[in-house]
Amino acid sequence: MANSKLDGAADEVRETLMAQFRRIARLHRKRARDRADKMESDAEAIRDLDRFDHMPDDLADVHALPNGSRPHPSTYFSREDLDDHESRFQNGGTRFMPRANLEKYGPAQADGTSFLMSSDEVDQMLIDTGGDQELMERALGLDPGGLDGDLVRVDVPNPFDHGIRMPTGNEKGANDHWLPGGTLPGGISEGVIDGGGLVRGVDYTVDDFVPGG
Amino acid sequence: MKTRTVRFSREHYYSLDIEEETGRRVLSIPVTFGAIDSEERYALSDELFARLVEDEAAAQAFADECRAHAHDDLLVTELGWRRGSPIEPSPAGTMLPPAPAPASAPVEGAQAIRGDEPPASVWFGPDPSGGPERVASPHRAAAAPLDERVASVASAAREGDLSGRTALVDLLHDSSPDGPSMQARLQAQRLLVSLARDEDIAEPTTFRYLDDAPMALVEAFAGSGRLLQARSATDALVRVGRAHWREPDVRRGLISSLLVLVHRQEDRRVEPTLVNLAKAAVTTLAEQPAAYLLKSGPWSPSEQIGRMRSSAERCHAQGSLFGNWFLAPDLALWSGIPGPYLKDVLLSDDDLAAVLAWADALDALAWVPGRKYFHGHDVDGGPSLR
Repeated sequence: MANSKLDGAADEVRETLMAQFRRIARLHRKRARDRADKMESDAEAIRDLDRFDHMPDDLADVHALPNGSRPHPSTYFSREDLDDHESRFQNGGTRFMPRANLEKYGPAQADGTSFLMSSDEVDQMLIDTGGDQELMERALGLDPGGLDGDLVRVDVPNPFDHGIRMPTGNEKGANDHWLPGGTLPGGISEGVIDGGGLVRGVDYTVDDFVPGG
Repeated sequence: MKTRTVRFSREHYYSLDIEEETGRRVLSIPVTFGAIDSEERYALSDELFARLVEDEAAAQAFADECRAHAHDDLLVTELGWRRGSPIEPSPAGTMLPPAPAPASAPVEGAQAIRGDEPPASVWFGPDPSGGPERVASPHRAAAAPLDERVASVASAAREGDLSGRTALVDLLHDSSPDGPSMQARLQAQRLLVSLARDEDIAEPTTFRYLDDAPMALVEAFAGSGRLLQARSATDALVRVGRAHWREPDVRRGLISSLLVLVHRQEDRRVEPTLVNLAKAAVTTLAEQPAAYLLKSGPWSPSEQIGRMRSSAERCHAQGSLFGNWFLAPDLALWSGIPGPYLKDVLLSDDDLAAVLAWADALDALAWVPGRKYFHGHDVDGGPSLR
């Protein structure tokens, strides 16, 4: 493994992050296995799963690099992995934000990018949690109270029109908790679009989001 | 907390606000967790607030210092184990994204669904009056015929004959090459957890098939706490967790299921582990005699009914989109009373009346807290709701 920011981190933090990277590697291995199964257990595809053995270390290396210098995900994922990830957004992308922030600053970051979660997976999360706020915060990897306040749900029904892709980690919205691999800590798929020119009512819709409602 | 914005800068990402309830003056900056944004608020003295309102350069500098965490002593936002990253302004001279277009009236989304009742099939709601039967996520409209054996048990159960549980257990344990399809097993499992008594779940052989079941079946079971409801379900879920905690989809389902059933004693900011969830289950069960639980208390659907009612009233009043698609199937399954099934729709007066009439009908049933119902029938043979 390359020199990593994790080298100087507390053992607990390092182990927590490595556990996340192992989780992400397992997730992508599972998706690759599912694809292989659909191809009726194509032997080549199954053998290819070995490449995921090194993925936790690869992800740690990517995570260690500063925002702005991280490599494109195609350097550590195959084209099939990336296509699979993008397919999670075929029914749209979703983000949550305070109503006031949307009205003041718009749905995109200063660099014009905007992070989205898979709408399908957000909807499934709503079903799984029955709309319970505590369970939703847990599923989204937020602190207790993270869904308090006057929130709106922003839906982008056609994220492919806006270049949906796996985040590189170089986006403005990629914070210290960003994880390489295109998932939130709770496991929901996240992608990024070019959101600078989105037009409300055309490219995205805004809906009240009240946990439990 | 509601605030009144005195001045904000779209270019420099800060806002000077007054909290309406307390009158407190604050400067807020947007922060992000990626696909979820939030804000941090910093309390200001009246003098400093007035100065920053007047002096844009000073306000910009102060906001930058907040983003650098130099004024954490003024922070009024409660921080947890994760702190959002400040959304940074663009470097000077670069173009900002276009300003958001003015708000327009909401339109029903492309996926809006308006049904007279929740879909039946694996949701095992009231008999469908027409239309395709649907699987798993009903709003995605994937059609799948219900297995004949499962359909037979479901039909009898709707009429109050719950003896088909044994047939479902047999079906689920049949892993022979000519045995039931995965779809049939998923359907059987969902019906079984909906019908199972506390004693059925406590019986070690009932869910023994999970020991070597395909992962799809284990994942579905892990997330079924809201339908299981039984105190003995905590043991079954912990058993599954011991075998499959490393599987992210299983773990996600188990955490939701166990949190639905039991009350965690420790700080909610502590990451839930199988051990502390199991300990919470032991504590909850020691303090709670009811056989069927929700959040450590006797189970009752009143919370879901109330949530649906208040949400419909609010969305109708505000003209915003409404959906009860994640509550309606469960309410129909427990009560046997069909009601409107809505996703991303603008409620007309008739829609609202239909939702409220359904909520009234559900509230009028003589639910006994701590009992479990399938189509209004007490699974333990107690008085029916009908």
